Amino acid sequence: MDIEDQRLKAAFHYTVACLCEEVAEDKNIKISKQTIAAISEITFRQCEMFAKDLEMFAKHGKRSTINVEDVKLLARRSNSLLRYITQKSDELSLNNLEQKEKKKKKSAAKKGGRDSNEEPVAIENEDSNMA
Amino acid sequence: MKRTVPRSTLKNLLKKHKPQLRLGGNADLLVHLNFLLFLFRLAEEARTKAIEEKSKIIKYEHVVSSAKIILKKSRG
Repeated sequence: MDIEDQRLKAAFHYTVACLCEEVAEDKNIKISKQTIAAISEITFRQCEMFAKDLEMFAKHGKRSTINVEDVKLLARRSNSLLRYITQKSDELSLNNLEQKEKKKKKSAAKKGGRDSNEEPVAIENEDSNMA
Repeated sequence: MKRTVPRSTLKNLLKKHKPQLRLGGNADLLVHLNFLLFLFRLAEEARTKAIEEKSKIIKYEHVVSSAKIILKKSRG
């Protein structure tokens, strides 16, 4: 359990370092290692909070699965973030629709012949017709 | 401190904001509790602001600047 925790934190740290590098190049500033460590720690704690909140939102909706609506609720506190998240979720649902149509066309053309490089959709958005 | 809860006033205020919203059972009491806690937080913040400026009286500016912070913190 503890080793998993450590690995997760390391992954967080690595990602934060990559993002910080991008920002540093963009803004022509230097970011110290301690700053990056602090940011990754903050991110980790924030994710714990997010997870608890999302669980509660899903429970409130009498569901055990967290969906896009819960994530939108999580982002309700800041208007710009909410707009951004909504836009992204719309993009995702559009993508899903396209994928489904492609799959339909493929299955219609191949009559069930499965392709090896067919990637499954990462996030299954069940409310794609709600947007 | 006043011990009674102005329930009808609270309901009227909520009605003014959201006319189609209906409140269940004793939800207005919880709303009042939330409001009281908000006031406590605001008072604490304003007092710290006043102490920071070495003032013994809470002034208008302290309340305004702390209201900005506390309102942001107490968003749902």
